[in-house]
Amino acid sequence: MSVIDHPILAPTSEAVHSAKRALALTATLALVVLAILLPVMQSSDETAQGYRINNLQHQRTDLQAQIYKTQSQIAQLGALTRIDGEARNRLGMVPVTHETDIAVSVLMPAIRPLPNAYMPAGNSGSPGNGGSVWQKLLRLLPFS
Amino acid sequence: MTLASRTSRSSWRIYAVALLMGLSAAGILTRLAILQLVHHQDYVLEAQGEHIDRKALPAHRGTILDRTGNPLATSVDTFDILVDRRVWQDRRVAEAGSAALAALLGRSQPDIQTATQGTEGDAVLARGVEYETGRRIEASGIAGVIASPSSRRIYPEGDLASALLGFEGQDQAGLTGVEHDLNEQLAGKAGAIDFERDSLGNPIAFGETRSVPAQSGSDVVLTIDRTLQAMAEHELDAAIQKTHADGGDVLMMDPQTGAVLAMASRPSFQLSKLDLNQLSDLSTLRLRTITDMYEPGSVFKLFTMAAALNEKKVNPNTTYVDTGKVVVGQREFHNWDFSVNGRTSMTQVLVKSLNTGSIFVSGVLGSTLFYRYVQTFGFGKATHVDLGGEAAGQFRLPDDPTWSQSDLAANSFGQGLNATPLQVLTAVCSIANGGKLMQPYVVQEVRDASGAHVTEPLIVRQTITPDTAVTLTQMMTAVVDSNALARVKGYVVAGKSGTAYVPQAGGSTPKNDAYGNEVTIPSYLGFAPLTTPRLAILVKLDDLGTADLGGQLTAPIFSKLMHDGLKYMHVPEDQPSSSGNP
Repeated sequence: MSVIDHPILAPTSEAVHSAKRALALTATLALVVLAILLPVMQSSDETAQGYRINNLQHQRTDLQAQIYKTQSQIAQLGALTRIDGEARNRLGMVPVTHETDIAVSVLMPAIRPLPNAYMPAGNSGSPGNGGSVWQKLLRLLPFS
Repeated sequence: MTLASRTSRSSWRIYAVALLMGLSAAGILTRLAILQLVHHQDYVLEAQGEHIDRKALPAHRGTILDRTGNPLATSVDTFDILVDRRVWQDRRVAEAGSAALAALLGRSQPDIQTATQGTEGDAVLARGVEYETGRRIEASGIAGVIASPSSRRIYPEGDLASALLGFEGQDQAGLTGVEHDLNEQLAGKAGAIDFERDSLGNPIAFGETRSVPAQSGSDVVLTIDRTLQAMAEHELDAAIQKTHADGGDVLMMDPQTGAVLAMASRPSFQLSKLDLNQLSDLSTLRLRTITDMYEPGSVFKLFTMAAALNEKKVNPNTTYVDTGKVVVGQREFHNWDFSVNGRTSMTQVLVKSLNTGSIFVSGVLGSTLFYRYVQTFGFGKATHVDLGGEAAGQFRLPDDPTWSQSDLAANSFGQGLNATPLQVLTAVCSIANGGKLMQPYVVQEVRDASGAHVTEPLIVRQTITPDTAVTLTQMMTAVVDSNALARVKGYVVAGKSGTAYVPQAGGSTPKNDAYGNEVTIPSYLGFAPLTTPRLAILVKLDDLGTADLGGQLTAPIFSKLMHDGLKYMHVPEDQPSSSGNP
């Protein structure tokens, strides 16, 4: 005797239909709720992002203002009158009263070139055009 | 009544009601169509006006730098604090607002309440408030208070080159000087943000936003060197104080390029204490080295001599007999010191600055050639320097009905005509650089987002041949050698003094001061070193109550500035340092 034939245990076709209907209804409701919640969540996220962007823009404006202020402070620190004042008052310097000019008949020394690694790109002394044996080997590596 | 008749009677009622409803519906639809289609744009604009707000984004004003890259004028962001008087009509709001603002602005509450009295419009409470303070006020959300972004100009070098730099107004637009003349480059372009706002006026974060970013103004690099400018102003101030002159000018130029290295004039104004509401003398605002004309006096003999040398009418050793007096037409001319020098060479005419000698030279030249060279050297026309307000200078030409031969005589030694200091020194620079008249310029470079736009030196025309320039330069060195006060230790210098008498208004007789002394405009100009001149300087004092005999007053100023300037520029010496002023 199979379970399906048991008068108590065997589910009736009506119950099955009813269960399926309930499942379908639940699934539909779940989809509807999701469909409602999704844009809400998206707009909430957008709003949060929007406020973050707003704040970052304010921060950028604040930092830019700070940069301008710092630049003007640097300029004021380098002003001629301030340097003159510091030299006279703090360092006790005085204007030159006697000048001695020394004529030198020796040629100026040749300008020492910068090491190749510090030369700007495109220069004849740039790393791509020369350098030591080790630098040449390094350039052969794929990640250099 | 039968059912059929009752039905037909009631059916017309139905039709009537249906017709009525149809007409109503049609009316509503028509109205809808009118609103939605015909007046659509109007309502869209009205809605935008309610929902969309605009916030201006001020552009950062460009910096003005000297040729060495040091800022002469720069801007910092600030806020202007305004109060909407209509909101503060409510006493409680006004009380609370003024109390909060008093704490933030460091002012008393009664003071703020007084400043915001009134019923309409916005009251400006404070301008140029520090950025951090302005942001705190903005963030505090005090009702009726508007924190409007603005900027303030900072002058790191204080009052240096005030007249040249100029200043800006409350709307950050330049009003005088470089600030005005290059306002379009310095100002940049303001931007704007259009945003959807809520009922309180706050931007809706995810609402519609359209923004046009502000474009910062370009930075302007001048040809002025701040150190040379400071030297020029210092010496000029000291000279004016010592001689009690009414004012003066010092101009420094690179004779090879026409770049103006320093431009100082007095009287002037102080940028650090400028208050346009209290400004009593507007004349202090102008840049006198280009706006004010004067009679150059004996320095003009250089151009008379240049013309005659170039036309080979004379050479440095050509002589004439100086009897101390020349009568031309109705006028009698004497040497400035009433001397009689007998047989005199052209070089000595310049060395002793003899009026009779220059009249002789102008006679040899003739009026046609003389005035042609005057115009060739740039007199009578603006130099077209890149600054506004330049004067062109004046003199009468032979075809003027009021011109006479005595004008030629007077003009030959720099009287009876006028020019600006810039015109005079620009013309002298052409003697220094082999005869090329350079166009003077003050703006070296304009830097914007697309790169740097550099001003290239411009040759206007050839005034004299290189040989003539060399010959005349040698004669000018003899002038300096004869005046110990003008010599510069270590350098061969070419120079010339000049003293013009200031005529009385409407007359040709010299003006006298309160003590009966003749009022003069002494000057000294020159360039060095000899082989490749790097610096040309003009020193001029205004309305001196005594004659500057042979440049006794202006020559030492010239000598000191030339020495200090050449040393500062690291120009190698070109003569043994055995003589000359340190």
